Amino acid sequence: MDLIVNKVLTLGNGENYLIVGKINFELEDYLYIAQINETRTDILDNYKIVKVTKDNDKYYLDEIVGEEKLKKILPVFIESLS
Amino acid sequence: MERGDIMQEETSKKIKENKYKILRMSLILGNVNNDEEALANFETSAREIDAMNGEEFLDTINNKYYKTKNLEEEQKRLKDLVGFIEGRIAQRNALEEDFYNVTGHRITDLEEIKDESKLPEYKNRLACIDKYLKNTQIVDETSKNIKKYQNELDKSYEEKENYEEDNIRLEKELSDLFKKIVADNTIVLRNVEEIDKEIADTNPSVMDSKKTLEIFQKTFRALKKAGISSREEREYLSYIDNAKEDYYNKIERYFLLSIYRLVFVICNEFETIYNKRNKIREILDDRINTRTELNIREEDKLSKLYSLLDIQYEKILKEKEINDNIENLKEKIADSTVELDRYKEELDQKEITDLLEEYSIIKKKNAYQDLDFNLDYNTSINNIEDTYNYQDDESNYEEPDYTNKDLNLKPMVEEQPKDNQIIKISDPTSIDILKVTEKTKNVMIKVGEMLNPKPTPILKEIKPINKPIEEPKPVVDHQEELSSYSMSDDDLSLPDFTDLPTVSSLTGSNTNEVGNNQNSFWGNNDDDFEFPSINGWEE
Repeated sequence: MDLIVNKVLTLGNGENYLIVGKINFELEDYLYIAQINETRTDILDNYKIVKVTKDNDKYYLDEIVGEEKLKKILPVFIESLS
Repeated sequence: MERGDIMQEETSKKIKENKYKILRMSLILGNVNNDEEALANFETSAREIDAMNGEEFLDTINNKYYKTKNLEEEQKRLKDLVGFIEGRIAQRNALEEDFYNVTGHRITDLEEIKDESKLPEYKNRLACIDKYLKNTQIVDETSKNIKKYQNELDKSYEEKENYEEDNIRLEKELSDLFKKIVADNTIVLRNVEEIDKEIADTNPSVMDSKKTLEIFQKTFRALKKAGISSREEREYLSYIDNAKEDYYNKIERYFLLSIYRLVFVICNEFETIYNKRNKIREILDDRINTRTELNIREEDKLSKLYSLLDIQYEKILKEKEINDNIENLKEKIADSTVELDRYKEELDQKEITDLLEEYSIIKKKNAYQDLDFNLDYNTSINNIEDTYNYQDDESNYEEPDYTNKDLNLKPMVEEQPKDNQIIKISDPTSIDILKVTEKTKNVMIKVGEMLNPKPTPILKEIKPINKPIEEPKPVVDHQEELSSYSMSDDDLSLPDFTDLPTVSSLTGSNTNEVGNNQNSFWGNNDDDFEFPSINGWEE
């Protein structure tokens, strides 16, 4: 699946997100995504760090919300963005 | 392998076996000079034999791990594999036993038989497949039987309906015919009460007439015994005939009233019609007997009634057969349904549903219940394409291929995408990527700083008028600061958290949730951490 930066993802709930960053951390893919508005012209104030999981040939996004986990992942993202 | 190599190997094998045999015999006969040496040689020979058997085993067992297309093939493969491993174990046990019998010692530290430890797992898998295939066959047969019973039941209900229509028609015919008959006998009664009263009134006179007749008959027999003339005999016999006629007329009226009482009430239900017909039949049988006893020779005015009642009685008996058959079929359907449920339940055990998922006989997740056995098992099993490769052999092992595009199965249930499932990836069309990237980077960096704070900057010294210089404020924990800080004139570059927008969607759940659990995407946060939105970080 073409999960690369600057692509727009549409989820099962109808929401659209722009992929802002992507890293591989401890053999797992993580994305930094920003929700985009309905007209798909700008981003909303809704950012997420998500883990990409695959099940039965389908891809899912699991949001990372625990502080400890974020503390580990964020520096990797920041490094990748700089 | 070349033919020469094969022959050489065969020869080598034969020599090893012969060596074992001869040493064995020597030890059994005790015909050896040095027991210890002979024992050691025998043990070496036994180990050689076992190693040779082990090699042969290993050469063959790898061929027993291969992909199977369906459960029937997998059953066959597992039977072969299990039998082969068990054969090797039996071979090893026989050697050990023989060694012990000959030497009195146990031979130890022989090389572990490959996959012996996995044998219970293989056997269990085989048992599950056996059970599935057997039960599905039974389920299939039972389902067919239920369908057959149901068809028979439907037919029986149709027949019953026809008989019920006939019954109603015949009830009316009976009533009409009987009314005509009784009208000829000057019995015209308007309701059940009148009939009951008439029966009650008739009963004593019937009994009187019967008694009178008996007196006449008894007295006549006594007189005849005492001796009477033929003229007297004829005269007395005429008295008896008169008494007979009187009795018959009265009891005939009683019979007619009794039948009238039954016919008068039209019945619709099977049970009441059946009972009614039986009672009428009993009355008519009594009437026939009475007519025979009294030697009544005149034409029977109820002959048409008898014919009609015979038809009715035949019908009602047939309907009874149908009703009994209906009950019998219902019972069979109920029993078969219980049996069906039991076998279905047995198939619902996890080990079996895992197998069915593995061979794509059912959809992943709890689709087994969704099937409700509408699946044509035979067709489904035979049509499954390669999806499974069950083996531990390192050289041949392949992951199960669930992505096989040739999978000859259509989705059994139309699947709705989950909230957190990616359903489409596209290119942005109207977004200023550069601007957005800059904005999002800033948010990321700020959050990063907040989570991994650098040493707190020294606050600018403020020198109030007429007050001594205060010491710098102590270092504040950022987490505390998050809730208490308010921006003032100082240069601290932390944002005003009180203005942060709420980002409810970022108060999620445990990060270790499985990917396809949609709740985890919008779930609860373990440590209440919130990922702030961009507005709060803007300068």
